[in-house]
Amino acid sequence: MLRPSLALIVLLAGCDTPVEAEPPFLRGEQPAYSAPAPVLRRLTYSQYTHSIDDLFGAGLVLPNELEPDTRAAGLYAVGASLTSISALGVDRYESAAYAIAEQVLIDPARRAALVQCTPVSAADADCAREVLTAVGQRVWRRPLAASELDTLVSVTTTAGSTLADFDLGLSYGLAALLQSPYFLFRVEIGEADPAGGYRYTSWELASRLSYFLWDGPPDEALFDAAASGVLLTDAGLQAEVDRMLEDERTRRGLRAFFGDMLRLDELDSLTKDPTLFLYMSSDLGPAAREQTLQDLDAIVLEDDVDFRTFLTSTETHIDRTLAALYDVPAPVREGFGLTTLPISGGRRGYLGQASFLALQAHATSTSVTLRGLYLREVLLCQELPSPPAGLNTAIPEANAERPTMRDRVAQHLEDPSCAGCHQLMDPIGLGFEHFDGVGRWRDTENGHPIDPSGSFDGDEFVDAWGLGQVVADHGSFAPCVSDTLLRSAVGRTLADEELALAVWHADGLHQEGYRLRWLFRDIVLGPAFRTVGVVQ
Amino acid sequence: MRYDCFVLRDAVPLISALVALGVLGCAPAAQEAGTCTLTDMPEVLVLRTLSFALADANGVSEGFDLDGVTSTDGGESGCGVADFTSPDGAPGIDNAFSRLEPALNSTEAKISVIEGLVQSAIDSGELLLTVELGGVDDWQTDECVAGQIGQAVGTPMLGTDGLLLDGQTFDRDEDIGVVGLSEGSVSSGVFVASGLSLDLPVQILNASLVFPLRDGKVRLEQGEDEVYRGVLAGRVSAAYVLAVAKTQAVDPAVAELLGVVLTANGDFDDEDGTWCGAISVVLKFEAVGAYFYGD
Repeated sequence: MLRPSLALIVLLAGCDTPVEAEPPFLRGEQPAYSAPAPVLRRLTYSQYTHSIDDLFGAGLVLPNELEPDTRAAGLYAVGASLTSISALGVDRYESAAYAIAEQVLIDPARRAALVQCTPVSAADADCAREVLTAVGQRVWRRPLAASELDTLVSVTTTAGSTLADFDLGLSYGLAALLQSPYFLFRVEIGEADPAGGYRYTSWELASRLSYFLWDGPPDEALFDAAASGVLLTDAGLQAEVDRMLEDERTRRGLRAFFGDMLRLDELDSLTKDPTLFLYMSSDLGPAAREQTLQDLDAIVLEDDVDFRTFLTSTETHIDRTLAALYDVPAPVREGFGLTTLPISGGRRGYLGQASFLALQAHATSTSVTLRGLYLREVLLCQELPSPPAGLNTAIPEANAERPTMRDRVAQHLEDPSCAGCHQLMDPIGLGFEHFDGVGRWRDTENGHPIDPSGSFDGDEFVDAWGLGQVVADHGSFAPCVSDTLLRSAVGRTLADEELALAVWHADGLHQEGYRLRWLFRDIVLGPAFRTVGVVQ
Repeated sequence: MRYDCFVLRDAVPLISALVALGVLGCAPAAQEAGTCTLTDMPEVLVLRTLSFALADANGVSEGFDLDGVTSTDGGESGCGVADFTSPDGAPGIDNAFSRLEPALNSTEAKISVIEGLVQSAIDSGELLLTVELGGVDDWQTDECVAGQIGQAVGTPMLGTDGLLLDGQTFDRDEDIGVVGLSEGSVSSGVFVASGLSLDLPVQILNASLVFPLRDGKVRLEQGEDEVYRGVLAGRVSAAYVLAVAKTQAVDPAVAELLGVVLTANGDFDDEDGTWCGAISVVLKFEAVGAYFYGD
């Protein structure tokens, strides 16, 4: 038996023993990768409008409707490679092309930027060729072949001659460029790589870069890098990525990605029963979206910090409308300003925002199912089966015996045919029951206290505040965001053979402290972005 | 003390100016909120409705016993104007203005019309009266609660029910003083304070008038729906109301009627000492939580 003094010495010595620091996480070698065949992506609506803005300057009146975007595998970015253009869509693109061309040529400043030469006649082919050569490369995002240019010049001069007006003729040539598949689709087929395999051409790579990072077309510097071929080198590509990530247009790319992933566009059609939700207004959905996107902008681009704070931060950007909804002082009189939400409010992070709480709810009530399903499918990339046809999945109405949602969910889960799936969603969704169908805090439901506690994949939470932390720490959250970004970058679902690469990117994200800005760069420099399979 | 108040002809669009320039400005500004201290982060309420609390046919009325006596018709106290009984049976409730209702409703200046104009002023942001409460330690019992009444400026956000939303942020109207309340306390969830001296704009007949409410009291409590409901009461100079009416090109016959009913129902001495020259009035309101920029 040790004497007390010796025991004390041993204990003290134990205290002095240095705690072995956890070694930093390091990802392994890049796995072998074989690129699948390329996809043909149609410009999304936002890519189309950004393209027109960048080509001709902002301020043109653009059509409200074109061919609708469709989601596939949860993303418009993936849907864009699985869709074509309907007959109605063709008409819309054609009308838009002529309307844009007319507006560009009627505006002296825009015309001067476009037409550098002075036409000597209504059918001046040389001037038309000069204009179309320059603008054609920007619109189609590659140099035009001689035959393509000849055709466009012919269209322009024929129309100019017929209409006895050079500009009217040029409007036909410009409209032809804008309704061409080479503008409306991102044609990325690839070429043989001298080092072996196939890769995207420098022009294709320029487009891939700009639409991924900027949600818009390449700028002159990127075209120059494409034209010189420097973009195909590791150093050249890295330099361009670093330059582009510093550009203001990266905010557009970030907004496009998260707007797509989080389905924020649906906030435009937010519908709530006005007799039940006093705070419902036409301003609410757009304001909620802006809050979420400004928070992401700050986390990813401005501060470049662990993006998981998106789910746990009390700092957020709100306007007067949202301040009232959240019952906190508005930080600014106009627009959005940064504020810190009080701990006493029980609200933090994205899961405390109206963009999640109001969207994942019904028009007349909250929805524990929608909120739970969204966490699993969108934030954790888990797949849940659809309910069997004909099965009544509705949660029972409130009554005196079951006044709260928790009571009704318990009844709902008594049915084995419902419990199988709903057990995976509803108990999680109950964590948000302190927030009503538009995201306003409520202490009680039908006069009864709300119990928001629960368990998510083995992790206990007391309320939505804690649930945000549980999701942020969930082993699937960061990899899900990484995978979704990768799918958005390549515009398709990932083949089984690519899963190892997806894990490798997610590991890198972990290694780099979950900084998404780093991941954007990592994906661009990775093989899925640069190499391509052979077109069958 | 002299009170230089303002009268405006076209009340509805100008009520905000009225408030800014005269409603509270002509009242004695009290920076010291009673004997209790207004904390750095007071609870701010903004009035979303304001209307007359009228006695019912059974003589029951919201309000206060402002003079501490229970008056009866023709009696010696209270100028011989009978008091009412509170909803919980307390006697001595002063609300003589309530007796003007039949007369007013016989003219174009119906009570409902006046109240509608006041509500429009609130909804448009022209009349944003605020109540600030400080140092409420316990909403059940607190013997020392500081309070003050002020004015906010800003464009209100209305809910789908058409009323001001809870939790919005306004600017403090720095051009006017605030009215301190005294003897504020909370008992059984009800806040009561006295020392209310407030100039309220209302539209009577064709005129926009300012009601200089004096020696008043305020009471409010929070409902389960988080809306505060309460009343404020005081005495209004009948001579002042009449003088204003006469300057507003009111139909002489109507002005005469107003003079008769005011004189007949005066139940307080006026602040300049005129015997029975003032009339008690009770206003009920609803208020919701609000914030001030920069607080």
